[in-house]
Amino acid sequence: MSEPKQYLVAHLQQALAADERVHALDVRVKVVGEKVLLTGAVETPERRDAILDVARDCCGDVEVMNEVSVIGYGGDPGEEHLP
Amino acid sequence: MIRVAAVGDVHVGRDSRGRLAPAFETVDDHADLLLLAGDLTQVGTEDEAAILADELRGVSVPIVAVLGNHDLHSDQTERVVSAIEAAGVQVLEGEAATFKFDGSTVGIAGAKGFGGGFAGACASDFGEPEMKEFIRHTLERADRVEEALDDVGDADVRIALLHYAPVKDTLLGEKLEIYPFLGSYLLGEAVDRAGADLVVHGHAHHGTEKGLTPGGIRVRNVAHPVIGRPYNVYCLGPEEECAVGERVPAGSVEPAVE
Repeated sequence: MSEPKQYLVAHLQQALAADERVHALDVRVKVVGEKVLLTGAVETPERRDAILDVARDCCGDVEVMNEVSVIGYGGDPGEEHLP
Repeated sequence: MIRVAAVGDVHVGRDSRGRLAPAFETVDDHADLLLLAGDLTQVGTEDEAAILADELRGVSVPIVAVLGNHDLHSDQTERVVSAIEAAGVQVLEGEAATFKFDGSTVGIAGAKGFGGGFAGACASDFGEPEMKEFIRHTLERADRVEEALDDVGDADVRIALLHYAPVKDTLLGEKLEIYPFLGSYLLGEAVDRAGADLVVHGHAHHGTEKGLTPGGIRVRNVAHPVIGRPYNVYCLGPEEECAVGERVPAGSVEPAVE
Protein backbone atom coordinates (compact mmCIF):
# COMPACT_ATOMS: atom_id res chain seq x y z
CA MET A 1 0.00 0.00 0.00
CA SER A 2 1.35 3.44 -0.90
CA GLU A 3 1.95 6.01 1.83
CA PRO A 4 -1.01 8.30 2.56
CA LYS A 5 -0.27 11.74 1.11
CA GLN A 6 -0.73 13.40 4.52
CA TYR A 7 2.26 11.48 5.85
CA LEU A 8 4.22 12.29 2.72
CA VAL A 9 3.71 16.01 3.42
CA ALA A 10 4.98 15.61 6.99
CA HIS A 11 7.95 13.49 5.93
CA LEU A 12 8.92 15.97 3.21
CA GLN A 13 8.72 18.91 5.62
CA GLN A 14 10.99 17.03 8.01
CA ALA A 15 13.40 16.22 5.16
CA LEU A 16 13.49 19.85 4.03
CA ALA A 17 14.30 20.98 7.57
CA ALA A 18 16.93 18.33 8.26
CA ASP A 19 18.61 17.75 4.89
CA GLU A 20 21.97 19.52 4.85
CA ARG A 21 21.44 20.55 1.23
CA VAL A 22 18.67 22.95 2.27
CA HIS A 23 17.69 23.19 5.97
CA ALA A 24 14.52 24.92 4.78
CA LEU A 25 11.93 25.33 7.55
CA ASP A 26 9.68 27.79 5.80
CA VAL A 27 8.79 26.01 2.61
CA ARG A 28 5.10 25.16 2.53
CA VAL A 29 4.20 21.71 1.30
CA LYS A 30 0.76 20.55 0.24
CA VAL A 31 -0.82 17.96 -1.98
CA VAL A 32 -2.80 19.29 -4.91
CA GLY A 33 -4.53 16.57 -6.85
CA GLU A 34 -1.85 13.97 -7.46
CA LYS A 35 1.05 16.40 -7.15
CA VAL A 36 3.09 17.85 -4.30
CA LEU A 37 3.23 21.64 -4.40
CA LEU A 38 6.08 23.61 -2.80
CA THR A 39 5.69 27.34 -2.11
CA GLY A 40 7.51 29.99 -0.10
CA ALA A 41 10.70 31.97 -0.55
CA VAL A 42 14.40 31.28 -0.04
CA GLU A 43 17.52 33.41 -0.19
CA THR A 44 19.39 31.91 -3.17
CA PRO A 45 18.67 30.16 -6.48
CA GLU A 46 20.90 27.28 -5.35
CA ARG A 47 18.64 26.64 -2.36
CA ARG A 48 15.52 26.73 -4.54
CA ASP A 49 17.02 24.09 -6.82
CA ALA A 50 18.25 21.98 -3.90
CA ILE A 51 14.74 22.00 -2.42
CA LEU A 52 13.47 20.35 -5.58
CA ASP A 53 16.22 17.72 -5.37
CA VAL A 54 15.31 16.90 -1.76
CA ALA A 55 11.62 16.80 -2.58
CA ARG A 56 12.12 14.44 -5.51
CA ASP A 57 14.27 12.15 -3.37
CA CYS A 58 11.54 12.08 -0.74
CA CYS A 59 8.48 11.83 -2.97
CA GLY A 60 9.50 8.98 -5.26
CA ASP A 61 7.06 8.70 -8.14
CA VAL A 62 4.85 11.57 -6.98
CA GLU A 63 5.30 14.64 -9.19
CA VAL A 64 6.70 17.72 -7.42
CA MET A 65 5.89 21.29 -8.48
CA ASN A 66 8.47 23.76 -7.17
CA GLU A 67 6.88 27.23 -6.95
CA VAL A 68 9.39 28.49 -4.37
CA SER A 69 10.65 32.02 -5.07
CA VAL A 70 14.06 33.56 -4.49
CA ILE A 71 14.15 36.82 -2.53
CA GLY A 72 16.56 39.34 -3.97
CA TYR A 73 18.37 42.32 -2.49
CA GLY A 74 17.50 44.71 -5.28
CA GLY A 75 15.31 47.78 -4.98
CA ASP A 76 15.21 50.64 -2.53
CA PRO A 77 14.75 50.19 1.19
CA GLY A 78 11.28 50.88 2.52
CA GLU A 79 10.94 53.87 4.81
CA GLU A 80 8.40 54.67 7.50
CA HIS A 81 8.07 57.61 9.82
CA LEU A 82 7.28 56.69 13.41
CA PRO A 83 6.26 59.80 15.37
CA MET B 1 15.54 62.21 14.90
CA ILE B 2 17.04 58.78 14.38
CA ARG B 3 16.88 56.60 11.30
CA VAL B 4 17.11 52.90 11.98
CA ALA B 5 17.61 50.36 9.20
CA ALA B 6 16.50 46.84 10.04
CA VAL B 7 16.28 43.41 8.45
CA GLY B 8 16.19 39.88 9.80
CA ASP B 9 16.47 36.36 8.50
CA VAL B 10 19.11 36.97 5.86
CA HIS B 11 20.12 33.31 6.28
CA VAL B 12 23.61 33.69 4.88
CA GLY B 13 25.06 30.43 3.62
CA ARG B 14 27.98 29.34 1.50
CA ASP B 15 25.95 30.29 -1.57
CA SER B 16 25.33 33.87 -0.34
CA ARG B 17 28.70 35.44 -1.04
CA GLY B 18 28.32 38.72 -2.91
CA ARG B 19 24.51 38.80 -2.72
CA LEU B 20 24.07 41.17 0.24
CA ALA B 21 27.06 43.50 0.07
CA PRO B 22 25.84 45.77 -2.76
CA ALA B 23 22.58 46.48 -0.91
CA PHE B 24 24.21 46.95 2.48
CA GLU B 25 26.71 49.40 1.02
CA THR B 26 23.84 51.92 0.75
CA VAL B 27 22.84 51.72 4.41
CA ASP B 28 25.01 54.69 5.34
CA ASP B 29 22.99 56.87 2.93
CA HIS B 30 19.69 55.94 4.54
CA ALA B 31 20.22 55.28 8.23
CA ASP B 32 22.23 56.03 11.37
CA LEU B 33 22.16 52.47 12.59
CA LEU B 34 21.60 48.96 11.20
CA LEU B 35 19.76 46.30 13.19
CA LEU B 36 19.90 42.59 12.29
CA ALA B 37 17.03 40.60 13.81
CA GLY B 38 18.50 37.10 13.97
CA ASP B 39 18.85 34.10 11.66
CA LEU B 40 21.93 35.77 10.30
CA THR B 41 23.18 32.42 9.03
CA GLN B 42 21.53 29.36 7.52
CA VAL B 43 22.86 26.68 9.88
CA GLY B 44 24.98 28.62 12.36
CA THR B 45 28.51 27.76 11.29
CA GLU B 46 31.60 29.88 11.72
CA ASP B 47 32.14 29.79 7.93
CA GLU B 48 28.71 31.26 7.26
CA ALA B 49 29.25 33.94 9.90
CA ALA B 50 32.54 34.89 8.25
CA ILE B 51 30.75 35.30 4.91
CA LEU B 52 28.17 37.55 6.58
CA ALA B 53 30.99 39.59 8.12
CA ASP B 54 32.49 40.08 4.66
CA GLU B 55 29.11 41.16 3.28
CA LEU B 56 28.83 43.80 6.02
CA ARG B 57 32.28 45.33 5.64
CA GLY B 58 30.99 48.17 3.46
CA VAL B 59 28.71 49.43 6.24
CA SER B 60 30.10 52.33 8.27
CA VAL B 61 27.17 53.00 10.61
CA PRO B 62 26.98 50.94 13.82
CA ILE B 63 25.48 47.46 13.41
CA VAL B 64 23.66 45.69 16.23
CA ALA B 65 22.44 42.10 15.96
CA VAL B 66 20.77 39.32 17.88
CA LEU B 67 21.06 35.66 17.01
CA GLY B 68 18.19 33.50 15.81
CA ASN B 69 17.42 29.80 16.05
CA HIS B 70 19.30 29.03 12.81
CA ASP B 71 22.43 30.63 14.26
CA LEU B 72 22.38 28.11 17.11
CA HIS B 73 21.86 24.98 15.00
CA SER B 74 25.50 23.85 14.70
CA ASP B 75 26.47 24.48 18.34
CA GLN B 76 29.16 26.91 17.24
CA THR B 77 27.63 29.94 18.94
CA GLU B 78 30.81 31.47 20.36
CA ARG B 79 32.67 31.13 17.07
CA VAL B 80 29.69 32.50 15.15
CA VAL B 81 29.52 35.53 17.43
CA SER B 82 33.28 36.10 17.18
CA ALA B 83 33.21 35.94 13.39
CA ILE B 84 30.35 38.43 13.19
CA GLU B 85 31.92 40.73 15.76
CA ALA B 86 35.07 40.79 13.62
CA ALA B 87 33.07 42.96 11.21
CA GLY B 88 32.36 45.43 14.02
CA VAL B 89 28.87 44.11 14.73
CA GLN B 90 27.64 44.19 18.34
CA VAL B 91 25.84 40.93 19.06
CA LEU B 92 23.47 41.26 22.01
CA GLU B 93 21.78 38.66 24.21
CA GLY B 94 20.05 40.23 27.17
CA GLU B 95 22.27 43.26 26.81
CA ALA B 96 21.97 46.88 25.78
CA ALA B 97 23.95 49.08 23.42
CA THR B 98 23.61 52.84 23.37
CA PHE B 99 24.60 55.39 20.77
CA LYS B 100 24.50 59.15 20.42
CA PHE B 101 23.50 60.84 17.18
CA ASP B 102 23.28 64.64 16.95
CA GLY B 103 22.67 64.95 20.66
CA SER B 104 20.01 62.22 20.83
CA THR B 105 20.70 58.95 22.60
CA VAL B 106 19.44 55.66 21.21
CA GLY B 107 19.35 52.50 23.24
CA ILE B 108 19.02 49.04 21.73
CA ALA B 109 17.98 46.17 23.98
CA GLY B 110 18.78 42.92 22.23
CA ALA B 111 17.70 39.36 22.97
CA LYS B 112 16.72 36.37 20.88
CA GLY B 113 13.54 35.53 22.77
CA PHE B 114 11.78 32.19 22.28
CA GLY B 115 8.39 30.60 21.53
CA GLY B 116 5.54 29.56 23.76
CA GLY B 117 2.44 31.03 22.17
CA PHE B 118 0.09 33.85 22.91
CA ALA B 119 -2.53 34.59 25.54
CA GLY B 120 -5.36 32.07 25.34
CA ALA B 121 -3.30 29.55 23.36
CA CYS B 122 0.08 29.20 25.02
CA ALA B 123 2.26 26.68 26.77
CA SER B 124 2.09 26.44 30.58
CA ASP B 125 4.66 25.67 33.24
CA PHE B 126 3.12 22.27 34.00
CA GLY B 127 3.51 18.58 33.29
CA GLU B 128 6.48 16.82 31.77
CA PRO B 129 9.95 18.15 32.56
CA GLU B 130 10.44 18.89 28.86
CA MET B 131 7.29 21.01 28.76
CA LYS B 132 8.27 22.92 31.88
CA GLU B 133 11.78 23.40 30.52
CA PHE B 134 10.33 24.81 27.31
CA ILE B 135 8.22 27.50 28.94
CA ARG B 136 10.81 28.27 31.61
CA HIS B 137 13.27 28.96 28.81
CA THR B 138 10.79 31.47 27.40
CA LEU B 139 10.34 33.07 30.83
CA GLU B 140 14.11 33.39 31.22
CA ARG B 141 14.47 34.90 27.74
CA ALA B 142 11.64 37.35 28.43
CA ASP B 143 13.42 38.41 31.62
CA ARG B 144 16.51 39.09 29.52
CA VAL B 145 14.49 41.38 27.27
CA GLU B 146 13.21 43.34 30.24
CA GLU B 147 16.64 43.53 31.88
CA ALA B 148 18.20 44.77 28.65
CA LEU B 149 15.54 47.47 28.32
CA ASP B 150 16.19 48.46 31.94
CA ASP B 151 19.88 48.77 31.04
CA VAL B 152 18.99 51.13 28.19
CA GLY B 153 17.96 53.62 30.86
CA ASP B 154 16.60 57.00 29.86
CA ALA B 155 17.77 57.01 26.25
CA ASP B 156 15.75 59.33 24.03
CA VAL B 157 14.81 56.41 21.76
CA ARG B 158 14.42 52.89 23.18
CA ILE B 159 14.29 49.95 20.79
CA ALA B 160 13.88 46.25 21.57
CA LEU B 161 15.61 44.00 19.02
CA LEU B 162 14.36 40.40 19.07
CA HIS B 163 14.26 37.38 16.81
CA TYR B 164 11.02 35.79 18.03
CA ALA B 165 7.73 37.67 17.82
CA PRO B 166 6.29 39.46 20.87
CA VAL B 167 2.76 39.74 19.44
CA LYS B 168 0.39 37.83 17.17
CA ASP B 169 -0.27 40.79 14.87
CA THR B 170 2.95 40.33 12.94
CA LEU B 171 2.30 36.60 12.46
CA LEU B 172 -0.72 37.19 10.27
CA GLY B 173 -0.17 34.93 7.24
CA GLU B 174 1.49 32.18 9.25
CA LYS B 175 -0.37 28.97 10.07
CA LEU B 176 -2.13 29.28 13.44
CA GLU B 177 -0.85 25.86 14.47
CA ILE B 178 2.77 27.06 14.57
CA TYR B 179 2.24 30.33 16.45
CA PRO B 180 3.70 28.81 19.66
CA PHE B 181 6.95 28.20 17.78
CA LEU B 182 7.09 31.74 16.43
CA GLY B 183 6.90 33.82 19.55
CA SER B 184 5.43 34.45 22.97
CA TYR B 185 3.22 36.97 24.70
CA LEU B 186 5.79 36.91 27.50
CA LEU B 187 8.15 38.88 25.27
CA GLY B 188 5.50 41.49 24.56
CA GLU B 189 4.60 41.68 28.24
CA ALA B 190 8.27 42.23 29.12
CA VAL B 191 8.56 45.05 26.59
CA ASP B 192 5.36 46.67 27.83
CA ARG B 193 6.58 46.53 31.44
CA ALA B 194 9.96 48.06 30.62
CA GLY B 195 8.75 50.47 27.96
CA ALA B 196 10.08 51.05 24.44
CA ASP B 197 9.43 53.13 21.36
CA LEU B 198 9.73 50.27 18.88
CA VAL B 199 10.14 46.50 18.79
CA VAL B 200 11.84 44.91 15.81
CA HIS B 201 11.81 41.15 15.22
CA GLY B 202 12.09 38.50 12.51
CA HIS B 203 11.55 34.71 12.41
CA ALA B 204 8.03 34.72 10.92
CA HIS B 205 8.74 34.53 7.20
CA HIS B 206 5.09 34.29 6.18
CA GLY B 207 3.95 36.97 8.60
CA THR B 208 3.08 40.65 8.35
CA GLU B 209 5.25 43.69 8.95
CA LYS B 210 3.22 45.82 11.34
CA GLY B 211 1.77 45.22 14.78
CA LEU B 212 1.27 46.70 18.22
CA THR B 213 1.83 45.36 21.72
CA PRO B 214 -1.13 45.41 24.14
CA GLY B 215 0.63 48.34 25.79
CA GLY B 216 0.67 50.31 22.54
CA ILE B 217 4.27 49.88 21.41
CA ARG B 218 4.84 49.55 17.68
CA VAL B 219 6.15 46.19 16.47
CA ARG B 220 7.78 45.58 13.10
CA ASN B 221 8.49 42.14 11.63
CA VAL B 222 11.51 42.77 9.41
CA ALA B 223 12.09 39.20 8.25
CA HIS B 224 13.58 39.55 4.78
CA PRO B 225 10.81 37.52 3.10
CA VAL B 226 8.22 39.80 4.77
CA ILE B 227 9.67 43.17 3.82
CA GLY B 228 10.89 41.96 0.40
CA ARG B 229 13.59 44.65 0.35
CA PRO B 230 17.23 44.80 1.41
CA TYR B 231 16.09 46.46 4.65
CA ASN B 232 13.49 48.88 5.96
CA VAL B 233 14.28 52.23 7.51
CA TYR B 234 12.25 53.50 10.47
CA CYS B 235 12.62 57.18 11.22
CA LEU B 236 11.78 58.08 14.80
CA GLY B 237 11.29 61.77 15.41
CA PRO B 238 9.43 64.80 14.09
CA GLU B 239 7.92 64.24 10.65
CA GLU B 240 9.56 67.32 9.12
CA GLU B 241 12.99 66.04 10.11
CA CYS B 242 12.34 62.55 8.76
CA ALA B 243 11.39 63.89 5.31
CA VAL B 244 10.28 60.59 3.84
CA GLY B 245 10.10 62.33 0.46
CA GLU B 246 10.02 60.03 -2.51
CA ARG B 247 11.38 56.99 -0.75
CA VAL B 248 9.36 53.83 -0.84
CA PRO B 249 6.91 53.54 2.07
CA ALA B 250 7.62 50.45 4.15
CA GLY B 251 4.92 47.83 4.11
CA SER B 252 3.24 49.26 1.01
CA VAL B 253 3.94 46.61 -1.58
CA GLU B 254 4.18 42.87 -1.93
CA PRO B 255 7.62 41.39 -1.38
CA ALA B 256 9.81 41.67 -4.47
CA VAL B 257 11.17 38.38 -5.76
CA GLU B 258 13.50 37.60 -8.57
